[in-house]
Amino acid sequence: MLKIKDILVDWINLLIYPFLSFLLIFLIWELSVNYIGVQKHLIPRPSEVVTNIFLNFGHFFLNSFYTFFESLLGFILGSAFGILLAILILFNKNIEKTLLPAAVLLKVTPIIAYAPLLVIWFGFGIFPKIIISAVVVFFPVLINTLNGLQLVDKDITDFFDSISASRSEMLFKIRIPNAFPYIFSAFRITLPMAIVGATIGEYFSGGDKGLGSLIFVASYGLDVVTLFSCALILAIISMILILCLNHIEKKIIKWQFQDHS
Amino acid sequence: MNLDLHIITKELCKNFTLNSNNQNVLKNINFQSNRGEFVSVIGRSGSGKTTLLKLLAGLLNLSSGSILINNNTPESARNNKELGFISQNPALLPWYNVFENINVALKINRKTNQIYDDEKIKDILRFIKLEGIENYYPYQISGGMKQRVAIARSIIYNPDLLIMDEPLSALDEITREEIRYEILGLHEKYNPTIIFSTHNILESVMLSDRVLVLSGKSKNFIEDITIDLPRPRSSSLEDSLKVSNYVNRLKKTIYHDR
Repeated sequence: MLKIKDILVDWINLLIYPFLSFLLIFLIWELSVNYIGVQKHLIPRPSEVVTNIFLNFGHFFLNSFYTFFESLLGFILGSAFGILLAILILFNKNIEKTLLPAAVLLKVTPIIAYAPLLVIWFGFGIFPKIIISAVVVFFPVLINTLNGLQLVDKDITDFFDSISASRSEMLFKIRIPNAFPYIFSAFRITLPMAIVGATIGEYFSGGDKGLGSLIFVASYGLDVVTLFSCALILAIISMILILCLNHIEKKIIKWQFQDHS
Repeated sequence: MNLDLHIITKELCKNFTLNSNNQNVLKNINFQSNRGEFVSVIGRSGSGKTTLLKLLAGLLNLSSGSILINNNTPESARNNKELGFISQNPALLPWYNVFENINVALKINRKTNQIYDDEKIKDILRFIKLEGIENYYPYQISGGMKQRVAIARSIIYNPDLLIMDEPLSALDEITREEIRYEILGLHEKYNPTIIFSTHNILESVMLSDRVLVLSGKSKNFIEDITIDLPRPRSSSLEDSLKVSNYVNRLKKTIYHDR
């Protein structure tokens, strides 16, 4: 019971300052639209945006769920492939020489260029959105994991070499735990990118399901209230996921956060 | 062949290639150590002490010559968990607590079929004055304690050779002195052969049966002194004339190696 209370206090402490800063921004925004004469068809009042979300809560919730679900699956898939390939590269440098250039090529190609192709190839269902999401997640996770697996303190590897630790023992007992902080760093970058990937996939699917589809429809109808509502919801989803990730990170790699305790 | 011989090196050479220049670090080293002997290697920075110790531990490849440990290669000694390597940096795993950091050395390379139990870890923790901190993580303990854990981790699997590369150099003077005598106690209790490198001449005299001076100039040993002091040794011996003579002799040798 005490633990739940502690977690709640942690979360309140964590959320109170961002909440206050958002409240201030919303207040200035609201007053600007009302009193400085910002045109409402370009920038709606925040109260209007929030009201719109509440009035159409079921509609937004369902579409948010699609986007969230696709992003999460894409994130898991991209991360799993990134981590797996990093381990394979660690064991066989030829894989790095063969596959890394292709991965770099994929990374440097703007997502906007290949997203429509994936939609054409894989149809209008959930699959292309997951793939787009996974593709944007894959590369940073691969590079960070590889760094984490390789950058083990030389004195640590010397000790374990001196007792002839096998490659798998080195991998599971030393290299993978050593890579955790690097992997979580990548996750913090790629989690919002996964949401962007899924939203872009939905946008190119055109008016199907998800917040990207709502953005697509609203942009053609110049419906700025819906556009702002979608942006706000996407920001909130990203923030919640990042907060959850931070919480998990502190539990899993607690030694990283307690160096000066 | 002398059955008491534990380590034999013959014409041991090590070269490193730096910017396509072949650099000679160790040249024609011939050295022998008896079982249970405590040998210190001293010398100026860059004289090749760490390279020599890593070669003995099988962590570096020889350029030429040979090393025999228990009449076998260093690789074989590593595979059979016959040697322990301790470096200046305790190199503990931050995700494991003290107990797990020691226990991991038992779990790795289990093919040697040696049997260990938790009681043995507790016994070693008691011996090396770490009792009561088993559940602490490396970030929660001092530098001296970390080095004690590193030593405990290296003796837990009963190696008959301990290779210690400046294990005390990162510690403050008081802790250094404390651990110095704990290492002596450990040598008396478990009687492994110890090859110990240090910059501290007094330390090398107080701990060792033999002190070897490695020269950065000749890339070989320029002095091999047998330390004729009674065991067990304590800090009261540090002020004796005999110790002082050994220290002065070694100091002169190192000073002239320029």
